[in-house]
Amino acid sequence: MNRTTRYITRIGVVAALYFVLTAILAPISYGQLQIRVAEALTLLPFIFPETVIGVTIGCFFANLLSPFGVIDMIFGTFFTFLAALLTMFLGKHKKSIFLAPLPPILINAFGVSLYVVTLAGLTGNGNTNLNLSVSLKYIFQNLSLIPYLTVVAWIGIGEAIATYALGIPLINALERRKKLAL
Amino acid sequence: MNRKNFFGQYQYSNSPLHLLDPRVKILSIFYIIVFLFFVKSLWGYLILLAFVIILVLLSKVNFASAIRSLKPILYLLIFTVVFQIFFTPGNVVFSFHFIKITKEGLNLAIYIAIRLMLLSFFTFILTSTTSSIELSDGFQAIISPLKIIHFPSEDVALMISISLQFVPILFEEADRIMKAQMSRGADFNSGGIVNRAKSFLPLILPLLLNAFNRADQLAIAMEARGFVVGGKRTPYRAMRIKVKDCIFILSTLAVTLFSLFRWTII
Repeated sequence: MNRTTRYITRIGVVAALYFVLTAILAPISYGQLQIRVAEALTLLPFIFPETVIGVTIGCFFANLLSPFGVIDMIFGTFFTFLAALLTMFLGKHKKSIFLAPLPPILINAFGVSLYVVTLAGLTGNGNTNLNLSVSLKYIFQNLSLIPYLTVVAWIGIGEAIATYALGIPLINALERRKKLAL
Repeated sequence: MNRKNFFGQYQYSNSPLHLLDPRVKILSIFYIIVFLFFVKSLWGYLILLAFVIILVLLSKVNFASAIRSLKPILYLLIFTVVFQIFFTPGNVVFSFHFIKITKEGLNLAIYIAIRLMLLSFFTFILTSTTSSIELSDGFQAIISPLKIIHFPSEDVALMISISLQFVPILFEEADRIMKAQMSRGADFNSGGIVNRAKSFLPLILPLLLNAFNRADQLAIAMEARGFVVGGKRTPYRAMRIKVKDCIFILSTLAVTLFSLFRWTII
């Protein structure tokens, strides 16, 4: 069987799975903390490199449902792609599985909060010209790091639970089966 | 779990907005949302708010569902408004001990609240009037010019259609596996947050393994029918730009340009 046809169909199902897990399972929420169960799939590129594209496409369509919609579809998807790519490299270089969740956690926490804070105007700079570079300057120059870091922690913890508590057991279980059949 | 609504908010109707070309709709909504960041006056935001309300009315979707689409950002909205009102320096209009409310803070809170709402509403317009098939056709058409820079847009288009086709299948399977695991005593809804995340493993693992099996079967079936990677394909549904699409584009441009002017009334 041709390898690339199989890659295309696998990418398709991973994208569908990411979308289904995001759209159909209501996020587990614990007070204000929301966890996207589908984020556990961002560890898949660690053992299946082709799924980088699947996770990216899935994230793109899942973000259609996000309240930030189009902004999330562009930036959120880009960050997911970047994180998946880094996770894939960690897998290729046979690094420890416990390092694999770091790219999605760090990139999403620091990246996504950047535009959440900018959109919500939480930079405290008192201007409505919410230009990303202006906001960034303010975040780092003034002491308005607190709202930014709050959002970072908020997203980071959710991501860490999805990847460490669910993602790593998933990858371990898949790896055992990969040797048998997949 | 509502089976019909897996693309979120899509509501079937025959309104003029539903009948627009999906490419036009996607690009116009993207344009408006990028544009939102260049509007600097309250007047501009009000014009856009009026525009989005007209669109919701034209699309004949349930008005209450448009309001409900704001629910996920409710906390952020409240947090933002409170933050802006109390922490923006400027001319104090009201003060009580350490609490100071400034004119600038009030202004900013209104601006940002309207902008967040607009962002949410325009995305809602897109997803409530465009079916999943139209969305995927639209995105496939939009990425196709990327062929010039050797982006494998045909392959990506195929991946998108495969994943779309699998969404209802996987949804049903997820439902079945969940029920099967629950009948064996699995519990998805109790315990601390870490345990609850962990409890999804008996759902995701079989779902993923089955999905991979299906993907491999589909690959064999496709090749048995003569599928070649990178071969040229033709669409079943051809999309054409019609008069109403042009009207929509023109009105979008008119509204956005109109909202850019610095009106001296407000």
